Amino acid sequence: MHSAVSRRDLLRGVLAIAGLAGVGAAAGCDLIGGSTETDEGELPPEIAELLAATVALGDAYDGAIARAPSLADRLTPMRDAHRTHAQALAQALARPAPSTGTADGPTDQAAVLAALVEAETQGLEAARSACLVAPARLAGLIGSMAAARACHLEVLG
Amino acid sequence: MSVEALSAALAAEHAAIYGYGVAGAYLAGEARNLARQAEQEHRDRRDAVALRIEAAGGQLVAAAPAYSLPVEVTDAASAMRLAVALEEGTAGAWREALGGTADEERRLALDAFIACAVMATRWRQAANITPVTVTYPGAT
Repeated sequence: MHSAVSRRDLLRGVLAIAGLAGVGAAAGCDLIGGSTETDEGELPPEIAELLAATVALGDAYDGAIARAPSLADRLTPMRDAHRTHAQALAQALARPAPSTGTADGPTDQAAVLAALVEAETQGLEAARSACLVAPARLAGLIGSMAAARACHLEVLG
Repeated sequence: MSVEALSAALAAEHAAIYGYGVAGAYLAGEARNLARQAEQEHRDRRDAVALRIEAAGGQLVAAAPAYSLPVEVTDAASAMRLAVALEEGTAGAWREALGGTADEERRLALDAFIACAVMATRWRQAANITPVTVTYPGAT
């Protein structure tokens, strides 16, 4: 009985320390060697959604290249950029990169390009919005994703 | 923090405006028009960021009388390579400003970063420089 009380007291103490660390993290303090940024649990939803949407953008390019191989030279560098961005963002968020696939879509060359313009336009807006609410340490990476998408639109359009 | 971040971007805009003064003299036709447009965009951004810095109580970085340029300009081709370098340079400065800014100032930095990255792409297209796009604009 005595030892059970001790364990409970010990547990209470551990919770108190964990609570203190939580306050420290929320205040941006480097209390226990963690990030000085906003707690990952408080990341704006736009950023987690951006990771999945970036993988989907890469999938859209993979599908486009498979359906219109004559566009491969033009599209491959842009596909690779989205794949690199997804990996970098997953790493920055300490999350596994979602698995990639190949998206369905049109086969006509003009329709393939039009679909990619649509996807990049949405992707640019999503990255812009996410950058504006991102913690400082992610702002440069997410801003770079937005800038790259704007450049893709320049050469696709 | 934000004055510091924006001041570095202002200094980069000063350097780009100087650089276009050099590049423009070697360009004609479409390329000259693009140089005029790009230079005006840099002047507009310089003025906008200067207003922000002043509003935040910061001291304005003055333009230097001359800047050392990353590309030696001797003809139209090298002038266009300089234009790419100028846009990549300002893009990088604005990218750096993102982490040190928030709210309206981050929006200003992000829009500037995107605009410079797109202008660098337009110059690569105009000069047939490949790859036309880069994975991380402003990082070169």
